[in-house]
Amino acid sequence: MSCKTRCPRGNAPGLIIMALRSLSQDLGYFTESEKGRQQLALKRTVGHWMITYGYCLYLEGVGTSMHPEQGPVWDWIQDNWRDVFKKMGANYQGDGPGILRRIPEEAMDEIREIFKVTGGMKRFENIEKFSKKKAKELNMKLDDGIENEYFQHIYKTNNGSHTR
Amino acid sequence: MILAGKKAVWKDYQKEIAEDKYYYVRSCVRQNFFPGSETAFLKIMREELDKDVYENPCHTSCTGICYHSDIVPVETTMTVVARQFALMTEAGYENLMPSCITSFGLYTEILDTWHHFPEIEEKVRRQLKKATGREFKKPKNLAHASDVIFKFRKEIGAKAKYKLINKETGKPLKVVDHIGCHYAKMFPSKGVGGAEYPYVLTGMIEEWGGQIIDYPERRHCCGFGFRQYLVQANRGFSVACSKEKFESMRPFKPDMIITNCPGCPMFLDRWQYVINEMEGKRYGQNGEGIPVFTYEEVAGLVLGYDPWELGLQMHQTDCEPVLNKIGIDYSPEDKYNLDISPSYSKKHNLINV
Repeated sequence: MSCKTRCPRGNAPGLIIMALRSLSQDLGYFTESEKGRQQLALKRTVGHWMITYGYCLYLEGVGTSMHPEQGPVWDWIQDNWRDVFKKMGANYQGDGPGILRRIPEEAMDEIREIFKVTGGMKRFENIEKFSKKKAKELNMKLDDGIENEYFQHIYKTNNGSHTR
Repeated sequence: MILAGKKAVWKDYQKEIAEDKYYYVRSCVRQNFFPGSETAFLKIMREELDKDVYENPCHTSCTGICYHSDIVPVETTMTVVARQFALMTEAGYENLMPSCITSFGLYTEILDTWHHFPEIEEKVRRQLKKATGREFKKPKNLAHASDVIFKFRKEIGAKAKYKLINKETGKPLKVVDHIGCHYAKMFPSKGVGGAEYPYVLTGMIEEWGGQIIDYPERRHCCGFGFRQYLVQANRGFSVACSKEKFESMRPFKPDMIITNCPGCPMFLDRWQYVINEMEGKRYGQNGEGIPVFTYEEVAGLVLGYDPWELGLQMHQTDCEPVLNKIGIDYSPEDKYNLDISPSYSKKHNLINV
């Protein structure tokens, strides 16, 4: 977004890229590149958390195997999640307001309905549909969740040709 | 330039920040990585500053991380944000105060879009009504939570138990400020000081006794970049950005880093650990890392809150060097002790509805 600060006309190239990527997902072209295929990994992590819990990040149980950069302190937090968050004054999975509260199901129903009415669910379905087609083409196993060959492949593979 | 001219120019870099009656929306990243910061923020607002801050348990993420990862269409994001506005309207509040910089940037972007394209606003209103039956008024005032702490920095300074001063030398601590990209780079007029001269964190540090360091890569991104970090295969881009900043600030020997975005402190903290693991390199003094803080944590330390109740033990890069330099009274052996009940969370009423 730094480009917009500099552009005398206030253009935002980042938003153009986002628009093109949206089109690519609508048409199914995104699975034809390494970076495009990663959309499934994003949909099955942050996208799943958003429509399931109401948070873009919901990290209990997301450990250092997926995020080794989080370091030993993250292992300690994961091992003591409830106690750590209680000490921090959180309302973890509790009713009422507060940190990482349980968002009421009626509220989540509204969020899911918004996704349905505005094309968010259709986008998710497209990502799944075209990814399954690509996994079949690559002869890789893809079932639900993240512990499968195709997900692990797109989550971890970098062909090393993206920089000069 | 004459003084009147300077004042006129600087006026363009100021923003209006509401005085009281805030509708607070939380941050996904801050709740997961820096929960003590949001707790401390509400304690400061309600108990130290006696402000009315309301939170509705039915509010959700703004979808910002999903939107910037391109898995959620902009119309979906706009309608989820419109629902946040509806909850605020129904509660009788007009001053929106997000904890997250991404949310703040997104709300700004959406309000700007609706200003230029009112037909999109009308479409979003219809979609929200159809999906939830709700209606909304747009916020009268939009200020990030760091804007509000900036506004009341003098009041906090007046109650300070500690100053950002090295107790041994009597000199101000040298502080690097790091402003989240989505705070003012997209809409400079919406941030205190704009994109080029952001003053929101500098104002706090100067008021609380520290000295801000200027360095070449001061405005460089921390490297989050959403999909750059969220997918493991891309994380090299993310760590490379942080490293660029560390290399640039190192010659100026900073004592600490302060941030206003929830994501930036996590990356500047964790990537120091990673670079040390990969290259055996540390950027602080005496073979240590550079402690990284949220602005809430710094305000809490200044006010004399316990470091472990602020959550400093959740950082990967140790914060003790700064605590020791200031001379903060704390118990090192209680760092990972989970049996201690936080003194303020007992008093502090989390339930406000």
